[in-house]
Amino acid sequence: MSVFPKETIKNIGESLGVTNLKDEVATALAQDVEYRVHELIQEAAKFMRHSKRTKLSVDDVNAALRVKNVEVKPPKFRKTTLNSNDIYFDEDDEIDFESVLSKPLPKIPLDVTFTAHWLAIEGIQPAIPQNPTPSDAKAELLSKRSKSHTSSNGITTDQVNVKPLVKHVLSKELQMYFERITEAVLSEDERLQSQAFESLRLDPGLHQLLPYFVQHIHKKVAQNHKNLDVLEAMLSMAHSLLNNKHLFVEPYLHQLIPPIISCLVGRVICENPQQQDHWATRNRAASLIATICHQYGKAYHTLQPRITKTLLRAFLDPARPLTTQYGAIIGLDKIGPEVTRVLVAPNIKFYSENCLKSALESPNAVRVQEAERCKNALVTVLDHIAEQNCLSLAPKKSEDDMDEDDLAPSEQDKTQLIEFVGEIIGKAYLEKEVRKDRVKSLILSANQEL
Amino acid sequence: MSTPPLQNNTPGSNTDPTTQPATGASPSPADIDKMVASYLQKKGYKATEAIFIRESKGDTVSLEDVGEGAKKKENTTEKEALPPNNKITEAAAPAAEPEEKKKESSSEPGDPDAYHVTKQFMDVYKLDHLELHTPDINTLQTVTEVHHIRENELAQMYRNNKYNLRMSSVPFELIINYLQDNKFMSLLRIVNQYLNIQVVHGKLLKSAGGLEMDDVGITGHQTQQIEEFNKQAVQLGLIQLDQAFKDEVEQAIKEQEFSKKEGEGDPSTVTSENLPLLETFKKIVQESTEDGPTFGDIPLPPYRGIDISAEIEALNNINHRMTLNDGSLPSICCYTFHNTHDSLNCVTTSKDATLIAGGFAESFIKIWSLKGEKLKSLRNTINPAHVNDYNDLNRQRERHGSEYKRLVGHSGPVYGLSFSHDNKYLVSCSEDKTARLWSTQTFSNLVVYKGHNSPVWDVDFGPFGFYFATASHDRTARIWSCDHIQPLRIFAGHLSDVDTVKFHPNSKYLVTGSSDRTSRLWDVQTGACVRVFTGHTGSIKTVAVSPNGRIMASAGEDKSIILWDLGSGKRIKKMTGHTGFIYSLSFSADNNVLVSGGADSTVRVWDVNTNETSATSTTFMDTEDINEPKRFRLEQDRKRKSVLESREQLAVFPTKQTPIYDIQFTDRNLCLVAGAFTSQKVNEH
Repeated sequence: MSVFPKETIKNIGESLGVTNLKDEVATALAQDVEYRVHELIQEAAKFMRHSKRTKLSVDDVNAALRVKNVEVKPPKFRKTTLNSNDIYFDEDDEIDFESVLSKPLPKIPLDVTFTAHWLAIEGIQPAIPQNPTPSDAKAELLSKRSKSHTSSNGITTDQVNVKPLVKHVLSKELQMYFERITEAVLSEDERLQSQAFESLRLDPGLHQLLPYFVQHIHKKVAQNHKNLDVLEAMLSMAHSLLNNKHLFVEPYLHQLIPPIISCLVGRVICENPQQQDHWATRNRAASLIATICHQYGKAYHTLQPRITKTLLRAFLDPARPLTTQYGAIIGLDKIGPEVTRVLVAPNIKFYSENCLKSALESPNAVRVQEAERCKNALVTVLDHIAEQNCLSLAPKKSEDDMDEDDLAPSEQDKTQLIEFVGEIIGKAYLEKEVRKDRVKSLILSANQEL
Repeated sequence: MSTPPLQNNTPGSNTDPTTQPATGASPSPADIDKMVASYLQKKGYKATEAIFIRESKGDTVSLEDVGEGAKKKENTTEKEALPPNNKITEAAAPAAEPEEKKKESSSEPGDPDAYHVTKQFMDVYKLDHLELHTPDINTLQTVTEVHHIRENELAQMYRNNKYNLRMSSVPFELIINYLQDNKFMSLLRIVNQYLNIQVVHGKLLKSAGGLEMDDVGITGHQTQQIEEFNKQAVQLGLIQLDQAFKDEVEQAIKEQEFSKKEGEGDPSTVTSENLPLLETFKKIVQESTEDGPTFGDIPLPPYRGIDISAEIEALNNINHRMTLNDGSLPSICCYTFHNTHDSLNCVTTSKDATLIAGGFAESFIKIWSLKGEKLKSLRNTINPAHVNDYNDLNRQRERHGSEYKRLVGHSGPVYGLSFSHDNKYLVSCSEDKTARLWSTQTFSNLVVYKGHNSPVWDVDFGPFGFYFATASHDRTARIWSCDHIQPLRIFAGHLSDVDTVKFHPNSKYLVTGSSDRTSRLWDVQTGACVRVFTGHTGSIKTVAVSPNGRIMASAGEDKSIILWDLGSGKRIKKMTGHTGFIYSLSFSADNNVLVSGGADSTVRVWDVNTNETSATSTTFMDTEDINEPKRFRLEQDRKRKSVLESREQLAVFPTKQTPIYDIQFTDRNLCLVAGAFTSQKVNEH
């Protein structure tokens, strides 16, 4: 009969101290309770609607109770008797005064304000920000409509048209080609692998697949960041794609660069760093980055600065592992001596003293080895800078300096250089480099920088 | 205040004094009756989805009448040993739905008590059915003898046919249980024999659009006979002006024009014929007040100088008014309230668009200026002796003023606000059962009007100030004058909350809309209901009367707007298109255009003058469809299932998630709408 089972009524009765409620009584009461609740909700809804709300609130129910002449006695109040008078009191939590006072003041709620705008001017709704755009309005109508459909009959399938995730459909052939290539690239068979790269590098008509390849590279690098073979293969793949004359790679660069940089500066990019030659992979990645910079740097002038910034940050952060720093160094080196002269050379001293020194002296053989690598990389950087300097200075110097060409650098030059790049790198460089003009040019550029 | 009985054609028996031994036993029936009535009425609401409330009401009440009859019969059979088939029950029939009269017809004729009992029964219950069933009651009133029943065609019809009813299961169960528990066996028999109660599941009813009343009542017999009731004469023209006032206005216009012409150095051309303002005035006075109430019919305070200048200003506005019709739509200015967090209950703007007021759930009212100025109230320390003219008064204002003024006084949420025609006063109503009058000069509370027994839902200032009307949860509307703390009239008759109230522009009538799904027109002078408008399928939340006083529009929770001809009491047309509750309606000053707004965050503009197009167009389509391919018809069905937008809809202006609470036209036909911005999330769930 009633939505309230009579057991509920009995339970409530017991909680009020009425035991042995008869079944008929409970049923009758349940029925009455249901009626009262119905009535109360109807009354409360009136208050809600007159407040132009769509949500029933506690206040509405309280107002409905008042209208029905029902005493609203909040159940959380406790009763006590004082001088034979019943007193109800609110059970408060004890509040620590100090913590309340020291608490920051709550934000003042925004005051009610109003704004005026033209909803329509002689029947035309002006296109101003205060008015919804026609598409907004339509969307809202549509959403309402579809909602009403679901609620009315629950059958919606014929009205919902599912948008396909893929906008253009690839031909079967292309799909097969994609599958084959991605398989071949990772295959053990070197011939097959190289053929795949070759195909990627030379075949025309791959444009439709380009986004998928880029996506593939991205995915594979992320998934296999410790599998050197896969990374190597992906670099080759990227290399091939970048070199394919028929492809227009620019729109996908933003997706392609992150995986390459990951290969370059990844902390660990192979399972076993001692045995596998991850350094070579890093070198490859570096040259790939450099190629991209040179190829597209002109068209997108924020490209190179962004890459160099990323790499420089990796280089200068002493907290980074040496492998990452190595990657950053060679990356910057490959991008060009202009970059290294400005960004790397002035920081060599700082770097070698803060990072390299401790690493070189550490008892850990692996660490020493890594540091050596970094040292060598930095020496190469200096080498390249010097070379560049010589080339640019060469025409001027060609006459008067020619005869001094073979002379070893003077002691003064040496100390100056060491002062500039620090002891470790300076010495390493001088061991290798004996030509005076080069040292001089380095000092020259160092002075320029300073 | 109750409606005077329309029919005096009761047979001679009504000359007898009504003291009646047979009914001596019926004080308790009367009480029970009340109980049942309220009980059943509540039931009726509960089944919101179920029945046309009015219909269910009418029928439940009739049942209760029958209940009374049955009760009486029991009493009489027991105590007075009257013949078992007393006529009393038969007498119950005419007053109520006569389904029952029949059953008692077998009783012996000539019982002398019959007259009195019948008559008393009729007197008590006639009023409940007068509005909807006037002709039937008139016919049945003549029935006083058993043999009359056999001869009376109407009575025979009720006897020979079952009266169809619809109810949802909950009220049906409650009624049957009530009858069984109290052992009203004869009543139960009547129900079984003469009623055909169709128990409908609420949702089914709604989805079937089943609120049509085709199958309610007795087939072939018109269920609703309001038309008869709605034939009472009304005077819908504007109120006729005081002759002195008219003269003074004319004089003022002439003076004004003369001085203007003189300023232009061309006094010679001035004659009374070429004064456009004067002509407009005369024309208006002539035309619009033709069938209006005479001056003095509605007592008003004597006019003041300011009224004359206001009248002239109004005439000027008429000349500057934009003409609106289907080719020229209104300009709409939207005031959007922010940061209200659902606490704004109502908004209203003053007629001259200088002030806007909002009523809040937190019991206060806020007033802002619409002119971008700060509001400056008069100081408390004002000494009237020092105030000689307007400038003196202005000197007494606050120096700095404030962005808004907050009016504190109510002790419950504020549900309704209305500015007086001169914008000097604001009247508000609240959940605390009071209405309050506020001054917009001092921004303080002037008077508290207590009288309603329940929350007051709506309030409206009269078109000339001085009077205002309130609508309340206690099922009454009341009219008050500002200088009395007691109501002047109480308008009782609605079967549920009166949700909205509006003055007729001539101040002689009041229009109310109620949760009983009817709207009524009341005569302010007599306090009687003169029109009942049925046809809505949900509570009526807003009504509007056209400025010429001829047309009324009502709308509410059934999302449709119905236009009514006040003169004939007939429905002009029903307009659909809104997808949410409609909160406000307003006619343009030239009566041609109606603007509506509501919970669906749209403002819609409707053509008032095209006749019946939507109704004919749909039926037209239906008949044509037969020849068209099936698929096309299906498509059309689908379209129709979503809200059918009537052809009268001239434009829709969606807002950004701003339900529209209030719409008002200024005298120059600028439309002002106001609403509170709600972030969508709040609204969705």
